[in-house]
Amino acid sequence: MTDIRLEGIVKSFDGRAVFDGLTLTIPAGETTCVMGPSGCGKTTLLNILAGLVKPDGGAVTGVPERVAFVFQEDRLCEAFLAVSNVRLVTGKRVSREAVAAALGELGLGESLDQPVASFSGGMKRRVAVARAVLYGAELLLLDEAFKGLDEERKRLTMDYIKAHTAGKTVVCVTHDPEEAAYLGGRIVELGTP
Amino acid sequence: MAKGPVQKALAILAALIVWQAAAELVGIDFLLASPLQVAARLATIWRESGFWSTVAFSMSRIVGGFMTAFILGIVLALLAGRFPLVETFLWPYVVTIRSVPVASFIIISLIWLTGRQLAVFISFLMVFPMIYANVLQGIKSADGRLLEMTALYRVPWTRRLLYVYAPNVQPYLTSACSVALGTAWKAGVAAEVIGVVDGSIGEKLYESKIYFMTADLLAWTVIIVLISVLFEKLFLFLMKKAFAGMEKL
Repeated sequence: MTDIRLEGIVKSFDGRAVFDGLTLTIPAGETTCVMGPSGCGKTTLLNILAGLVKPDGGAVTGVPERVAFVFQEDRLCEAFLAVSNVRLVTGKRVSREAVAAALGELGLGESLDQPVASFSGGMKRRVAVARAVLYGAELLLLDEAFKGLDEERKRLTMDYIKAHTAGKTVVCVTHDPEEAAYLGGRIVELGTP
Repeated sequence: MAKGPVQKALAILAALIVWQAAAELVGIDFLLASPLQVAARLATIWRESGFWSTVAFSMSRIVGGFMTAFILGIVLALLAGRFPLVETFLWPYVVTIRSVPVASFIIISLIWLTGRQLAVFISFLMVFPMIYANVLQGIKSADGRLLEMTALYRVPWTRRLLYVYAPNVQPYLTSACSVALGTAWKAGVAAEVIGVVDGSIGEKLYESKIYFMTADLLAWTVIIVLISVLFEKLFLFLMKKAFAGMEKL
């Protein structure tokens, strides 16, 4: 596993520059928290790392083949159970029991038989986290993954991520310095270009 | 619009009274049979020899045409959803089928096909564009963010179909089937009448007209409506079960 290198990244949307030559190294196997004011390009950075947005210029190297992403929105299949939502991405690589155990660890053990549509915002968030972690990618991207969770559940979810992503590269976008401190690792501050 | 069951029953009763009054006013059975005459005919018609074989003949062909259109409509819509070129190439056929009057198709089909194949083909033609267009619409309106998520996680297309597209397509397909089932019966029987297809419900309707047996004509009409409604309810129930069962796959 190699470090991820972003060199001279240029990106603009509708003529508004988000990155104008951003250069950044994300150490492999470590956690990096990205912070900065709204509109500074935190989500764009994750989208570039995930390959969902192509930069206008510059180069990105070292991104592993498999990437997991907890998007700002939950992006769950609402009509299906939490277990099914996770197994949608893991397939048979992860057993139904293992998924149920992971959801139990995240405090969702009582809701395994209910469709995700009946879940609260915080419950959906945790399903999205379980899905990303169980996918087993070398790079995990978290875009405000703990938004909408109360303090207790936020800690529970962060502990779950820390316990199951040891040795993997984690990039976490957050507004909350406490979250960044709890997750540990390096903090990168993005400014306005 | 009548909503409650009591209101609906009262509305039906009122309509039957109007029909009975109209029949008595006309006073000529072969011009307008009364509901009582039709009910009396219905009580005996199903016991006549050949009744069940006639129903089975028409039903197998109309349902056959519907099912062929249902399956082909879904398959081609899936292909068109994935490969835009398929949609482009299918477009002239779909537009033609939709805009040409059913009577024209029936007459052309009489030249091409045997009477026994007629209802299958006509039902198919009427149902196919509805299923195809609605399923395609459902596919196109799938949540782009969910599709982006499944692409990132490299979810195979079959699973994407089941989890992302199927729940989206379900309301479109249900509403299309609800309309298409009735249309299949109407168009299928119309084809049998025009083609005077031997051994079909359409032939019975045609004979009723020739011999001025209005009570028979209306009794067969009631039978068509009953079979059509029962089949629609059964089909939509099974389809709902099938969609619910997808979770377990």
